[in-house]
Amino acid sequence: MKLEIENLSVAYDTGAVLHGLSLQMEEGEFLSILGPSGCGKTTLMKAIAGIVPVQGGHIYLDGQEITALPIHKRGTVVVFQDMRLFPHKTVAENVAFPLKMQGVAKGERLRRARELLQTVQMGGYENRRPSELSGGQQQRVALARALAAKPRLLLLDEAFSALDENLREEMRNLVLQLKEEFQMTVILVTHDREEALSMSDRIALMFEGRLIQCGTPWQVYTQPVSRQAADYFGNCVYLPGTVEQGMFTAPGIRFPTEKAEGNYELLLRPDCLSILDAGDYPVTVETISFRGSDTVVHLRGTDGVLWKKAFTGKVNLQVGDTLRAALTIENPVLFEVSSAQ
Amino acid sequence: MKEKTAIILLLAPFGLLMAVVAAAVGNVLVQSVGYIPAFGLTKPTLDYYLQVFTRADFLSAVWVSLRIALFSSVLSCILGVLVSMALIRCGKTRGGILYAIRAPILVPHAVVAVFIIQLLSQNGLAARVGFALGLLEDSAQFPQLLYTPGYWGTILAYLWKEIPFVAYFVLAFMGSISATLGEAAENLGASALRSFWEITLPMSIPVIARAFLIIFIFAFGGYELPLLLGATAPKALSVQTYLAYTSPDLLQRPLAMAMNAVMLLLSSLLALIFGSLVFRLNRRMGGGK
Repeated sequence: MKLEIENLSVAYDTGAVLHGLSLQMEEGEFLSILGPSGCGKTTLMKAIAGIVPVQGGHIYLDGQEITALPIHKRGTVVVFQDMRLFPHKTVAENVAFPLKMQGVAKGERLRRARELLQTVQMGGYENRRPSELSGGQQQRVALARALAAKPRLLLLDEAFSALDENLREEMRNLVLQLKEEFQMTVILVTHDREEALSMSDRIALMFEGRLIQCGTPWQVYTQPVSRQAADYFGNCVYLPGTVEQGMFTAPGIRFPTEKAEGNYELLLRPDCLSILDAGDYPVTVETISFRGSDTVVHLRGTDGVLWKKAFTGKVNLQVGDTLRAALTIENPVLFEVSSAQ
Repeated sequence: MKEKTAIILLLAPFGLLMAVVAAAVGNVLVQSVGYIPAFGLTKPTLDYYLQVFTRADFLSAVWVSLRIALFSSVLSCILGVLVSMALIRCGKTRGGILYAIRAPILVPHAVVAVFIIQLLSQNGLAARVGFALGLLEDSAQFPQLLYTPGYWGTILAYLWKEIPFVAYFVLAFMGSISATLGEAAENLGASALRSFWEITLPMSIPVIARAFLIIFIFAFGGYELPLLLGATAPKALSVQTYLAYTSPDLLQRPLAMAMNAVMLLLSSLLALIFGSLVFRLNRRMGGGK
């Protein structure tokens, strides 16, 4: 199901939340709307689903304008963060609810509900009440209920954030598997960078009601359009330098660039820093933190830059050690430093 | 020790209130079996209860009060819930509208009775407007609602006060259900009406039932409105009981107390039945185990 959003604006009593946002999505795509709390990503999802009214712009689903269509006629089904299972109905009745609204006969809808519950590995729980299920089980039922509605577009609103780490991983895999099985177009609203990077075909990065960048996880992570976009993924190190005559120059670094002349900051991430090589970038070990699956070492460069690098396996380093690291820059990203800064 | 003292001090006003209630109930029960030494009645007997249950005027008074309570509370609940839903659909669940809803609740019953007489008597405002518009040839054609054995004037007066009470009582809860589960239902393909019918209303029934219980018991024992707007006969239970209590014949006092005791018993019984129904409903809604 192809989604097109043109110049969408949404405002609440407290002020504007979305400012002329545009976005396209292809059929069968898995798009994550990523951004910090309060950036308007949930509002965008609600606007798509028709839950909040829009003040301007258009939303098209497969070419059909749905901007003014009532919520129940859109076919854009949301799996809410708090699940919103109906507590007075059994698990099977919950899953059968969308089919009941479509006028499917009782026997058929309960049979279909049982099938869907099997699909989400919840067979045998048909007659339980939602209050008798764990958080993960409720999430599965919510997913089965959403699937029963045969969504044109499935919207997941921070759907995994209430689950513990192991369960979250399991649910992510289940969603990806169901997406393939039911050939669905899916939007995931999340503030979890790792979740967005690992699950999505594309990521739409939002800040303050605006779409900052949209691209594949690789593009968004390695080629951020601004420092704000880069910082959101964390672990950024910026080396100040200048561009002159088509060359960027910083202490110990020099490479050609097409950028205009001026002052720039070079974005570096810990994977650029290799301490196994006998390089020409001296760093000193400041702290070593063992975290179970990895060890995070804080390294201070001679230029004062602090690097946080994670190592797997045993780390044979001591606080105070000085190492000769090397910097490898494959796809350099430069941000212009405005004269006001 | 300090904590214990604090608890006792905090519970003291409640304890005092309960002690007064218990003393009043005890007094009613003791006097209802004919034990009033001040009037020379010292031999307990159940004769007064027997009299109560065999007196036609008492039994019709029970029926009148039940009828008033049932009609006013059922209609108030239905209309109050509809008002509440209308407000929710319009997004008017906060601010000035809540003050407007609360206004009728604050008006004393005696004042409401005057409003109703002014409005619905055969020479009241409604009849005169009907006559002025040519809908009635004579204001006497306006239906007789007041002072009739049907107690419609009393029921309408209760509706005037209780519809806003129900709307106010259920508004916040229904609003929150509608904004979460109702929204989810609509997102799954339910129209606004079906979402209300399938989700918001069933989920709100325990709260509506609580509102029903409060207004039912209140209307069952209510005194001013049936007295001011009702028929001379049959009387409502509270009116009948009060007349017996204030009778110059002091030996009527145990009979009045027996009537009071029966009224108390009926109210408690109804509250108990309702309480148990609400508890079961709550469990069914997943509200407790």
